[in-house]
Amino acid sequence: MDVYDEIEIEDFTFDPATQLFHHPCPCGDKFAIALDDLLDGEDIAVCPSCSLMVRVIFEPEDLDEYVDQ
Amino acid sequence: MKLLACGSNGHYQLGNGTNIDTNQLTPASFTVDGHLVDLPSSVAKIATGGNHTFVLLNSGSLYTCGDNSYGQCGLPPADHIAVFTPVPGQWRDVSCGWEYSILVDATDNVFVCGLGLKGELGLGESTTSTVLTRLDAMCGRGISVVSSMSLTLCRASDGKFYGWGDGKKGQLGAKKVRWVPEVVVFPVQEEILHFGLTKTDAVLQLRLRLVSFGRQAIDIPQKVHFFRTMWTCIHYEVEAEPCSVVSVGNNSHGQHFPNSWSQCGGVFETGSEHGLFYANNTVYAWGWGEHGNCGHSQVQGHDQIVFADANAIFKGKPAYMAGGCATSWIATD
Repeated sequence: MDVYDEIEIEDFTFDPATQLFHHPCPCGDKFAIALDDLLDGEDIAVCPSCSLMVRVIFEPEDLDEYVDQ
Repeated sequence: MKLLACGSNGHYQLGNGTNIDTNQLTPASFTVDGHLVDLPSSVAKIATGGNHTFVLLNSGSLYTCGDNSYGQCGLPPADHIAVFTPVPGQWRDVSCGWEYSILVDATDNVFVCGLGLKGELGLGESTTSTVLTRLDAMCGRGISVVSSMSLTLCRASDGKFYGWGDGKKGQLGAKKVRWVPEVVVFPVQEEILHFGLTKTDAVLQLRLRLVSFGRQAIDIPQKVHFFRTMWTCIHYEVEAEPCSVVSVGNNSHGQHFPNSWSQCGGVFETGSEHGLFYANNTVYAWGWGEHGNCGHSQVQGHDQIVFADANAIFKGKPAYMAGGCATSWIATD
């Protein structure tokens, strides 16, 4: 299955409590990916309610502002 | 008279009293004077957010259901509203973003409610409005509104356009976030006949041209009948002989209008990543239908996710049809 879309990291919302980045999914749920996964170089955020996936567009230094939040 | 719906329903957004997704068109229920009834009168507009829904009737009555965690239904916050419930007042337009709503009343006042972290409410840096709050900047001047996930564009009685919310893709110009309504001047000379939003674009229909600003930035030098937007896709019908529907943008999950039907000449409506069209006395769905929003395909081996070809979901002529966030809506006479 193709990646549904490519989303820039600035369009995600970061939740410091869960350390997850979220972005709305067209099904009504939200794509999610953990900060740790991004730090490990992963870039695919998945939706818990459907099969859609998005690629997160970011540079490693974009993550600096979220580390230690 | 009924309002039928199918698709994503985890937050009761189909208004049928359950929170179970369905691939069968199911009647919605409305609360009128304390009784549950079918659709009370004819539908003027259906607006849907991520998980909440508004039905505006031609009478000016407005009904809502679905996720109301942040008061995005315009009623006191509650986990959800299970069936369509009236929003007191007389209304002329409504639009929804992800977790917020914009309402225009019969005297052109604009009200906002819900959650918007990036200026979606237009109330300055206030991000939550659990009750309907009048947007003073647009007081008495709102004519019509459209909203995408995080951005709203309003045509005002002075003929100008006002925008607020997240426009990071340059949809409304260089400014990325507008916390309060601001005049938007699009770089077009001609009169703007119709306007719409994808998740990342502002789309303007001019007399002889269809143009968008943002991520896709299309410029179609042709007269179009009308256009509709999905989150990542624009569809328009070219006024030619014969008329044909053209799709621009993301086609990862069958979003482009089915080729074999592009000259059917029927009206179509779109949801987040799927659409509905009417032809041959039948309503067909196409696109991404994983939550049952494109019905159930009888084709053997069909994955029930991507409906690249048209799937018949309703026999007859609908009085009104609409697509939502993985939801499909058909009103019958």
